[in-house]
Amino acid sequence: MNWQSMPTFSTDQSINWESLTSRCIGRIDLVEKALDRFQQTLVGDLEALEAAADEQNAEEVARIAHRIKGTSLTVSADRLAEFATKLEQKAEGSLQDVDGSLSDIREEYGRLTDIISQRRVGDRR
Amino acid sequence: MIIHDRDTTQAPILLVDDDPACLGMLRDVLEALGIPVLTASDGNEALEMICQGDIRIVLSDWQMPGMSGVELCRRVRQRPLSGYVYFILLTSLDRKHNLVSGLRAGADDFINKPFDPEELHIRLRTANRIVSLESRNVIIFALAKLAESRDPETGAHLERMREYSRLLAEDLASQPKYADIVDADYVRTIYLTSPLHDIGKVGIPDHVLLKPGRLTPEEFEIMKQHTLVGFHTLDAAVREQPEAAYLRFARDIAASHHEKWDGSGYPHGLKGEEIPLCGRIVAVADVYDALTTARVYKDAFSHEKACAIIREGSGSHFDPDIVEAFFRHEEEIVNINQRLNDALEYASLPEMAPGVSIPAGTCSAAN
Repeated sequence: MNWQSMPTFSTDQSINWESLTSRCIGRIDLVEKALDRFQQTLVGDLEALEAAADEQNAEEVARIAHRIKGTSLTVSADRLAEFATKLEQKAEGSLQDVDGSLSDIREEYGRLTDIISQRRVGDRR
Repeated sequence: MIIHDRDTTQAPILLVDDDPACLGMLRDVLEALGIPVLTASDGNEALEMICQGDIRIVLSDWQMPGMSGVELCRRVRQRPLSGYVYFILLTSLDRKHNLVSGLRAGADDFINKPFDPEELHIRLRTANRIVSLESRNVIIFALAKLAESRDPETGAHLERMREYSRLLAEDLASQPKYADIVDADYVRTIYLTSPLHDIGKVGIPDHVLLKPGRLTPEEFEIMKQHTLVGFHTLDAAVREQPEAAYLRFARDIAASHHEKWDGSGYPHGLKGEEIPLCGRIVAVADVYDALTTARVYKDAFSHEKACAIIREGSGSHFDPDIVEAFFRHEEEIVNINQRLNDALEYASLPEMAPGVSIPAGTCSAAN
């Protein structure tokens, strides 16, 4: 299967809640655990991604972008997955023209962090 | 809709993924479905767990740093494990994974990432059904029981023997000297194949095998042949299926369980570590059981008397390391002996087989 035949991401929201809840067999506690793990993993991956980009290590950027994409798809963070996929594809060639993708990923990470934090606060109330 | 029923016969599944988020979610979902799960974060860790534990189903990510899922699968297939390991590879939707290379490495199935829990559950059920179909173990034991049926005084000898053998092998696995030789797979294999130790007795004529009382020297020479009959029978099976490690194991046990540490045993007079380790383990298990079992010409020896004989035989009849292992687990050995008491076994055999006369005598113990 190639990129052209990939399913279209629903990018109107950062997390596809319906899909995530379904993957967690309807268990909200599993959704929470999945998001916590996702957030923790993402922090490290983004730091590694920035470092690889600074070092102009295209292969490493592509590898980490691929990993972010996989992690994002697991929790149905489809928009981040889409940005990561674009970065991976670009980095497989060279690191020219990747700044926009890196910026998209940073911004989406910020949005996801807010969403997950708000959800946590909502749960405590 | 997934049916969340708990399947108690489900084999444990080893999940392998370097991504903690994916690994964690898979684990949570499968555990919520009542499926026992173990996890590994890389191929090396997974390979070690497969070789050490009772894992029959592996679900591994394809792309991992270091050892990939395909390479892990290839290595699992190269190892002569005691049971079949069903291997599923997780593949990304957008990657042009060469599925043929996965199949060539020995993968049984593929699941796309991100996983669909319903599909995953169904595929794992299929995997479980396939590994449950493996009837080899039952057939091996049935074959051993068939051979034993010609030697009626042995009762639950095979059941006890394999328990003793497993206990001794488990002990050796924890000793640094044997750490590279005896692993969990070795322990499983000795449990599986030790009952075949006397299979060669099917080739011993009735007038010798069933003789009440002691054998003459000539008859004893015939009786000794059971080790070689067993060897040749199982060696033929090894030639038929050379990749089946358990058959080689069974052959070596059949051929060597009457060898003695000082070289005075038979059929080849092997000495010390020339005797395969599995044969040395089974020798102790076999003799202890023969000593503690009643025969026509002797009462069952007490555990204490049997222990004295085993201890006395250390370094002459038996490998001293195995004797030490035996005495480290004396209490468990007594428990096995009591739990699998002959009085509880085959009590109804004469009624089940009318017209079959059970001879009153037998040959000497642990021939």
